Amino acid sequence: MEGRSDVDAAADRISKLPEPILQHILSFLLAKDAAQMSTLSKVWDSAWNSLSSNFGDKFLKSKDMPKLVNVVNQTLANRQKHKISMQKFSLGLPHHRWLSYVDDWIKILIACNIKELNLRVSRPIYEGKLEYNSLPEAIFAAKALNVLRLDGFKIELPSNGIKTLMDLPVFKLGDTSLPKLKKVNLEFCPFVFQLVDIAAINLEDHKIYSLYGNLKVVKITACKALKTLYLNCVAVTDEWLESLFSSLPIFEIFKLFGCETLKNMKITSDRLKWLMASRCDNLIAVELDTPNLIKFQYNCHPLSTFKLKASILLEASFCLTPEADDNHWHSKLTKFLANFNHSKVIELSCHCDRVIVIPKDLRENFLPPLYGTNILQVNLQNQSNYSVVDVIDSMLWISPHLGTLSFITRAPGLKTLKFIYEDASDDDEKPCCASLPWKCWRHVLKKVKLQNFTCMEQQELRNYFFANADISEMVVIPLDCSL
Amino acid sequence: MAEASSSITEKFFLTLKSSDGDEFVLEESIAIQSITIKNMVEDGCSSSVIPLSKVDTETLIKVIEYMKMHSSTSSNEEEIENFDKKFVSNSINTILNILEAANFLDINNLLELCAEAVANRIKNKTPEAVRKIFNITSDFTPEEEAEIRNETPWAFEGNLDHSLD
Repeated sequence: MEGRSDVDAAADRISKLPEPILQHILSFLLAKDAAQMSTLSKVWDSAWNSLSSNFGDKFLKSKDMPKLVNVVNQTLANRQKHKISMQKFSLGLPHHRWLSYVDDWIKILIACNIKELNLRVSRPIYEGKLEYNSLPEAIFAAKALNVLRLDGFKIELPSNGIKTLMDLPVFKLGDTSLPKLKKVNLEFCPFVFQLVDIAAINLEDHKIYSLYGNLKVVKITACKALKTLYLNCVAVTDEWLESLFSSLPIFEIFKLFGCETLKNMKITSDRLKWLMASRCDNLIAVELDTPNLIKFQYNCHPLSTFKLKASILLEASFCLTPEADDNHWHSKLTKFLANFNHSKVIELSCHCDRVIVIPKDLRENFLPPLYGTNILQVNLQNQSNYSVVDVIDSMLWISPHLGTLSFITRAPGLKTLKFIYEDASDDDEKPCCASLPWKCWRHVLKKVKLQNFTCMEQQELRNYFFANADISEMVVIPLDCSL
Repeated sequence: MAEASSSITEKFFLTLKSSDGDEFVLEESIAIQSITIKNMVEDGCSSSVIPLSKVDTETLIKVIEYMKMHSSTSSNEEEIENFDKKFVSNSINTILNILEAANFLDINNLLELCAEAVANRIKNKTPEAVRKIFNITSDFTPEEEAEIRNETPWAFEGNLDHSLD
């Protein structure tokens, strides 16, 4: 058989694969063949033993089911007999008629202290309508359960009168059930969904994707352990957002996508580290009093006004997409960027070089907005209107004391410029940066290193830098070598 | 909403960097067959170079070949089928590399294809033959092995292929 020789030369690669992959390979074999492979070595024995607990997140094929039922029955019985505990059980059933087995399996799994349970099942069609399956009630006895992923079920919590159906506009988890619950993902919330109410004291991670943007109320302030929240197209209000931070003491990562109802984002938090606002296009004003914020991603159009207090280590990235007929774009951009003048790293992404080349007449009316920034990265999809020198000249106006300036373009390799400075002599009297806290690159630049620029670009840049600064050296590093 | 966000991203290109430091530029629409990459793209707009520290250049080339062929616009079903057939005839070591990469990048179809390719080389073989093919050394004592056999007696009935083909 081809390929054998290179295996002979190598070590045992296959046994070093992650266990889920080994299991995946085994799952293509007949149960009989797969069980035999448990004698290969301990790694394979363990893979086989937990295979019977992991049938993947995909739907199994109906023709495989009788075989599977047999395997699951045998191995679960074996585990229960030897009192082996169980981390995770995943199962995707091709048809709801197989659910009848699941009740019994769940009882055994609970006896094995199951921690993570993933169940998927196709939804039944009743009188031409897609229905949901009832969740096996046995699940609510799973005291050790941390993670529960369900697809195709309606949830009816049995006790305390709490009742939640996926068809009702309410999703509610009270703190009486599932005390170990750490993560809740609600994906593709149905149209009628209007309220999410979760009071799980140990919940750390919560995601809500609402396809239709009509989910209006999210009550999670009882989740005191919440660290990460992701909202996609959820219609939250300014007031909701503001009060969220006062009730969640250790909230660190907050991502918003397409929340178009937000107009004013006001956040006061010592804990927030990472904030993303993407396509929240009705944002007018953002006010962040977040001294420990170190990552900020912003992709909303048009640009909102800003008030910012963040860590000096802040890395901010912006997607810039001006309206085609926006005559004041460049002054808006300059004012916008000035909010981030103390951020260490800035990344700008845009379609076209016109977006970031600030007209020269405008430069006289403004201070360079990012004079404190050290690293600037520009992600430029299309550079056809301006020369490389024009683009770099604009970037060095925006940010006149850079350590590194790099460009991602369609060409391979990161085009990078590194700048090395010397102390300025006092008698230097160029008027270009009289209003800045320090002298701009024109006076103090000593050395420039270029990487990944084409020969023509190198020549243009050489002329540009020798003409504009008193530099002693220009180092060109050939394509694709590291600095 | 979803449409609006896809229309701004559709023309984008991504740069993938292999563990050997080689960079590959790929249309975003092709690259997001990888759920790992898709998540990176959706988590904000950072579209800088994506470092794939676990994928070497040789493997990444194969993976990109696969993604290009399977991207919805360009190829018909028959072409894809033929491509897949040829793809799994790569050496077993290459397949194992791709399998690991597909797992890391979360490309479901590719993972499926490679896992099945490996399974096909195990199918109908005795454990002894599989040990030889994949260089697996048993770390069981004979007693332990016998005990495991006893746990699933139904698996060891009947005849099996002892050959390595």
